[in-house]
Amino acid sequence: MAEDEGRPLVAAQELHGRGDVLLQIGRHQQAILLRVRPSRRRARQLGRLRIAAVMLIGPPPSAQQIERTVDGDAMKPRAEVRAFLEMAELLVRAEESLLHHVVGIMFISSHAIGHSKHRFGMTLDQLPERIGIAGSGPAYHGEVGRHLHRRNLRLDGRGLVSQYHSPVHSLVHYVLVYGVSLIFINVLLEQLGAPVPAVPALIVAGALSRDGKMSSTNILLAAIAASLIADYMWFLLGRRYGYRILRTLCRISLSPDSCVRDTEARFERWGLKSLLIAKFIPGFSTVAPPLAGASGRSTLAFVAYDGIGALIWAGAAVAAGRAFHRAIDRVLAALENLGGWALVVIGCLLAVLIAVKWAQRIHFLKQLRLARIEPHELKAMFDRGEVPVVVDVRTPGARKHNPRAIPNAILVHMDDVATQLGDVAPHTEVVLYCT
Amino acid sequence: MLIDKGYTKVRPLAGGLDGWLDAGYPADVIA
Repeated sequence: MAEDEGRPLVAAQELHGRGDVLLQIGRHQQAILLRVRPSRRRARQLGRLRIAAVMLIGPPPSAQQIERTVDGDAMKPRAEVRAFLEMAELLVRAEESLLHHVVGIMFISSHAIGHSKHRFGMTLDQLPERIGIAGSGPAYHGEVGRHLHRRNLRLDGRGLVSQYHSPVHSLVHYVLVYGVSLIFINVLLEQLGAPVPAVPALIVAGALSRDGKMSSTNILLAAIAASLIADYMWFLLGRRYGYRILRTLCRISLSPDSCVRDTEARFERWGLKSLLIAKFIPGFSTVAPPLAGASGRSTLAFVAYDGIGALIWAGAAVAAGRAFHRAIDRVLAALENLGGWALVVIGCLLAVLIAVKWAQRIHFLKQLRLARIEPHELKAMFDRGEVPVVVDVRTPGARKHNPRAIPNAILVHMDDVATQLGDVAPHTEVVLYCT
Repeated sequence: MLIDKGYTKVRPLAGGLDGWLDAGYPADVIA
């Protein structure tokens, strides 16, 4: 049949279908009227509904249509309490049908297994319960792979379908629902100095944005805003307390070696431009903002460079997530297959990472503590007439900020310290100091 | 770096310059 010839038939079927829906309303109404003794008010309400239905339907249905609608299942009229509930349910169904079929904004579960509850219809205390339920066993029989796969989280045409059967799914669910807020908090904590890596979350969010489940723009805006807030706080502290704030930072940092080794020199060398790549260098991202404040850089320039740096950093992570979203899907699927153990594995990996960093820190500080000389010991050496070689390895900026030095100290750059001491005998006592 | 160059008695000053100044010891002014 040609396409043009088929159109009238399709239109006729559509009209016929609408008539069936209205007939169903009429059938329910008639059944209710037969089974209860409606009050005047209820009778009026039902009457209005009938008038509206008649206006839409047009002529009354034929006996054949009614037979098709009731499907040969004649009802026995009798008074029932349940009929009152049916009357209320009828109105609810009409509303649901309007939202579902006409407006298209409400998802109606039609399959107890395949379709989950509407997430916004669940109370907050019900959401965590799903973790326990999901973790209690695999999904339905042989359907594990299909049900556990993250693809099941893909939104449908109405944008509201979701299925969760494992803790990781629940985590992804939380990322979907509270994603932007979680990204904001994660980045804020990391930039404030907490050992909470934000890049993995940004990569996963990027992968989710690739599938249209999150907005890349919102992710980037949240990351930039959180980053700017934390960095500006460190900037102000640096401006207020100067280089002393670095000591506090290095004390809480898990990478004190990289913190004290050359971050200051790097900032001196590159200036505010270093903020563009600061977040890619471990230890430097937290130290650079207070350094900018301590060295008296302008607030506007700091915000501009730091904002662009945050955009580059978060953008790179989100872009990586988008580029490798299939691989991330597979990793998430593998974690989902682990069920409740996935959280244990993730937690253990994070704990091991922090433990290794902490052990390195303790080892480094122990070495430093064993090797360092206290100010009173150095003073005593001076008083005894001993002449140690005292080397000031501060950056030019730090010296400008505090233009004082220990008597007879040699001012050298850290990179040149070995060549500058070329004439000093190897067995000589050398004391280095910075800020 | 210094230890790699053969210097055996290299020690950092605890607290840096701030520690020295906080202890009330004298300091030179850099020109």
